[in-house]
Amino acid sequence: MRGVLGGFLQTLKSFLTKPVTRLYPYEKPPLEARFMGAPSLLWDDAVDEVVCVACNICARSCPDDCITLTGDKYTAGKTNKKNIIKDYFIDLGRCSYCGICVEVCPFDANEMSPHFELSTYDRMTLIYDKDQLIEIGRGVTRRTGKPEPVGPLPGILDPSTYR
Amino acid sequence: MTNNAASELTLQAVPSWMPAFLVAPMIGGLSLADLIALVVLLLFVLNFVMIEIWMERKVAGHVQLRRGPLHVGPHGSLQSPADVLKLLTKEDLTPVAADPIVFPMAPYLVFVPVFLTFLVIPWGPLVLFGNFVIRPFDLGLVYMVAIPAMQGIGLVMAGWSSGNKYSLLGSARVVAQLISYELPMVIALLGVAMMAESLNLTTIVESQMKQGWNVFLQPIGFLVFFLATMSEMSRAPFDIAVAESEIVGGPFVEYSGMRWGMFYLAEFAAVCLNSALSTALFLGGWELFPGSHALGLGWISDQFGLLFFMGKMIVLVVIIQWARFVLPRLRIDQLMDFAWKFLLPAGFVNFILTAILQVFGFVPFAIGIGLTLALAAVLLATYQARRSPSTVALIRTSPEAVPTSQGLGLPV
Amino acid sequence: MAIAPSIDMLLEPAPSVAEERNLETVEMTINMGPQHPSTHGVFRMVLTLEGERVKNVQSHIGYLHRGAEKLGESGDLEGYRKAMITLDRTDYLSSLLNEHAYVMAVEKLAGISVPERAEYIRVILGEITRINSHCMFYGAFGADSGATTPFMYAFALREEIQQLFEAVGGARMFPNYYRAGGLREDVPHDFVRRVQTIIDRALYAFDDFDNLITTNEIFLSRTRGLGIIDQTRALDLGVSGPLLRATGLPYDVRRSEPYSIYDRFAFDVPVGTTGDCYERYLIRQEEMRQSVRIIDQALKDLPGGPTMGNAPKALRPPKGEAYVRIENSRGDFGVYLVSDGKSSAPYRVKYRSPCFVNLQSLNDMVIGTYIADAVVALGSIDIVLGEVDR
Repeated sequence: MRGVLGGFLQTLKSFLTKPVTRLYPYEKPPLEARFMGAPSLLWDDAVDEVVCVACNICARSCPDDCITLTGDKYTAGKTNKKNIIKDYFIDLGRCSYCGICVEVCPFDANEMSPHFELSTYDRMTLIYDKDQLIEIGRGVTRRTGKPEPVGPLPGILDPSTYR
Repeated sequence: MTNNAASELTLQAVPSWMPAFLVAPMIGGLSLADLIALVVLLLFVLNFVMIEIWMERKVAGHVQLRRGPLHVGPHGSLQSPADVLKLLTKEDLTPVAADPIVFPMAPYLVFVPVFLTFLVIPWGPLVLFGNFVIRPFDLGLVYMVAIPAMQGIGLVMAGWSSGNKYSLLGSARVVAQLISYELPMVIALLGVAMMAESLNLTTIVESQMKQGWNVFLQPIGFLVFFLATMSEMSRAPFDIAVAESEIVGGPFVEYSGMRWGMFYLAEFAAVCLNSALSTALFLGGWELFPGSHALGLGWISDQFGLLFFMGKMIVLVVIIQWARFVLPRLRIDQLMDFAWKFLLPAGFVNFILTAILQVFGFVPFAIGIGLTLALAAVLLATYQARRSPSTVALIRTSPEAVPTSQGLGLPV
Repeated sequence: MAIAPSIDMLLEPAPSVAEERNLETVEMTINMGPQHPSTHGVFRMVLTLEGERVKNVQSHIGYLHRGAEKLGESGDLEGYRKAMITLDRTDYLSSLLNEHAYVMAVEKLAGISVPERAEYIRVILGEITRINSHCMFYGAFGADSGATTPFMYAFALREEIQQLFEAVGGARMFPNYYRAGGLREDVPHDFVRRVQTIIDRALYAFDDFDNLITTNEIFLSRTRGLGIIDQTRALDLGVSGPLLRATGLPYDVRRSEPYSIYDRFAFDVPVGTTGDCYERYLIRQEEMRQSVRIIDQALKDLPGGPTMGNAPKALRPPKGEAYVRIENSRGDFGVYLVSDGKSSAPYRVKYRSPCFVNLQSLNDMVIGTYIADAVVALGSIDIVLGEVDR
C-alpha cells in the first residue's frame, strides 16, 4: 500500500512542478556553441571569394559519400590558390551531420552551421549546391581548432530551473 | 419529499409553475418534460465526456512533467471536439474476416447500457424542476447493477466478430474480468442498501444526510466498490484487456473511426457514471459536507446541491484518471486473484459487519470490528513471515570480491 | 493495510487448467511483430500460446541490420573515423561508451598514448552515457509493465544530459567525440559546472524514480520472481551485464579487467541473488548512483593539459589485431579490430554486442509464463536492436 501511495504523492509533486516542455516552434531551442547542423562553405570576406580549393578531401572522408564536387583552375589571382571550387553539392538527406568533413579540411574552408530546420516536401531539394551552402554559411564562425571564447556561451541551461 | 410511492413513472412533486402540457403523459407514459430531460441528459453526458477527455489529457500531461494538448483552442480545450471531428471523417474500415452483423452492432451494445444507467442517478435535491432524477426507481440499485452488465456482451461481440486473434484474446480477458468484478461490486452495494434500508438511490442519499456519509460508515465498502467499478470500466491498473503495450487495444483493435469513437465514448461515460454513482452512494450526494443537514445548513444543499454533486463527481473522476498514470498494470491472473481473493472476502466482511450492526445493534458490531481487526492482524503477521526477506536490498560487493575473467575460465 | 496479504498470492502463477484436467486445447500462434509498442525496436517474437501461457517463442532479428561492420571497412580516406560513425549508431543509447571501446582498440593497434585529461573526460562522459542509457531502460521497463509516467520522468533527465552532449560534442545523440589519442577537441569552459549540475539534479531524479515504481506493490508483483536464469545457465549462454550480476556473479569488466583509468575510482558493483527481473531493475538503478559516484570523483581530480596524444594526422596503424572489452550499459561490449597495415580503413571491425548474446536468454525466461510476462521479461534484458543487428 505504501508503494502505491508513494506513487500518488510523487505524481502529485510532479503535477505541481513546472513542466519541462519547450514550446517548439514558438520557442526556439537554445543551441549550444558547437551544435552541428548542416555543413556550409565559408566565404573569405577579405578577398571576396570562397575559401574552398576543391582538394576533394572532404568528399573522400565523408562516411555517407554525400559530397560531390568539381574544381576549376584558379585565375583570379587574389590568393595563391591553384584551383577553386566550381560545383559543390552536399546531399543533406544522406548527410549524417558527423562533422568529419569539417575536421579533415586542411584549409578550414567549411564549418557546421546551426541550421537544422531543413525539412522539405521534395527529397531532391535537399541536395544543396554551392550557392545554398555559402548562404547558410553566412555568419558562421570558424570553430574547429580555435580556442574556446572566455565567458558565458550561448544556450547554457538555466540553473534557476533546477531544484 | 422522498419518493415512497414511486411505482408510477412520473416526475415527483411537480412544481406549481410547470404548465400542464409539459407534464401530461404522451407516448408510452413519457411526457414532453421527460423527453426534454432525456435530451438534456444525453447532451450533458456527451459534453461532459469531451471535457473529461480533455481533463484526462491535461492531468496526464502535468503528472508527467509535460503539458498535454495546447494548441487547439485555449489550453487545448477544443482538442476533444477536434478529435471527434477527426473520428467522424475517418474511413469506416470493416475487416474482411469480420462478421457483417455482429461487428457493427457491438459498439452500440457497449454505449447504450452506460447511458441507460444515467437515468437513475440522483443529481440533486428538490429544486426548480422537481427531483433531479430522470427516473427515481425504487429498485435503483438493482437497475444500476443489471444494466451495465450488458456491456460484457458487447465487448465479447466486438472481440469475437473482429476476426483477429488479439481481439479474441482481449475479449476473453475482458469477459472474465467483468464477471469477476460484478460480485464484489454487488456485495459492497448490499452494505449501502442495508444502511439506508432502501434500494432507491435518492433515499440512500437522503439517509446519508441523516446518518453520515457512507464513506465513513462503510469504508471497506467504498474501497471495494470503487476498485470494482474501476475494473468494470477496464481502467488502469485493471486495463489488461486493452493493454496498449501488449495486445494493442484488445477487442477494439479492428474498429476505426466513429465505431471506435463509440467505445471510447462509452469508456469515458462509464467513468462519469461510476463516479456519479460513488458520489451518490458513498459521498453523500448533494450534501455540502458531512453533517451539514444536522447543523441546519441544509438550505445551501437545496439550492446548490447540483453543483456540490458535480464537484464531488469531478474529484472522483480526477482520482480515477490519476490512478491510470501512476500505477502499472495488473496481469490477468493477478487481476482475478485480486477480485476473488481480496475484494470478495472484504466485501463479505463488510456485509456481515453491517448486518450485525443493523440487526443486533452497536455493541455486537464493535465486537465484530474487533474480531475483524484481529483476523487482519493475524493475516498480516503470517504474510510478513512468508515474505522473502530482501525486497529492495542488494548485495554490494567490495572491489576485492570480484573475480577476474581468468577465474571464470573466459578467454582473455 | 489489508491489501498486503494478497501480494504473496499474486506471485504464484496459477497452474494451467488444461494440464490439470487433460483437456484438448488448440495452440495459438501470435506474432508480436516488428512494429509493436513494446518490443524495443524492430524485434519480432512469434509466440505459441496455449490460452494465456507461452509454450514456445521464436525470435526473429535482423530488421535493423545496417551493415555497420562492413561500412566500417569503407576505404579511401579516414576509414577509422568513418567506422566511428556507424558504431555510434549501433547502440544508440550508449554511443560514447562504445566509442571508448573503439578508440581504445585503435590506440592499442597503433600504440598511441592518451593524455590524462582525455582519460578523465572519457570516463566522465562514459558514465554520463551509462546514466542516460539506464534512464531509458527505466522508462521503457515502466512502460512495459503498464505505467506510462516513468518514461516521461526519464526523458526529462535525459534531456539535460543530451544538452550536455550537444555542448561538448556538437550533437545530442551521436557526438562522435572521441578520437584515437584523445578527444576531438577540449571540453567547453563550463563543463565541470554543467556536469556537477546534472549529477546533482540526477540524484533528485533517481529518488523520484524510486518513489514512483520501485516500491509499488503492483510493479513488484509483476516483476518479482519473473525471468529467473540461474548462474550456470547464464554463464553457458555468455550473458553479461546486469543480467549476469543479478544471478549473483559480481562480474563487471570495469573491475575484473580495469581499462582506462577505472582502477583509480572507488565504486561498488551491485549484485543480486535470484536473477529475476526486479533485481535487474534494481541493479540498474543502483548502477546509476554508482556512476554518479564515479563522476564525482573524476570531476574532483580532473587535470588540465592537452586532450590529444601522439596520434598521427593520417592514421594508418601497423598490421595487427586488437580486441578491447568494456562494460557497456548492457554488458560486455567488445571491439575487434584488424588492420592490414596499408589501407586507411580497418581490414575488419567486429563488435561483440552484449544484447545479441543476452537475447538468447529470452527462451529460458519466457516459456511457461504469460504474454504479459513475456513482454516484461523482454524489457528487463534491455535490448537495443541497433546493437543486436548492427
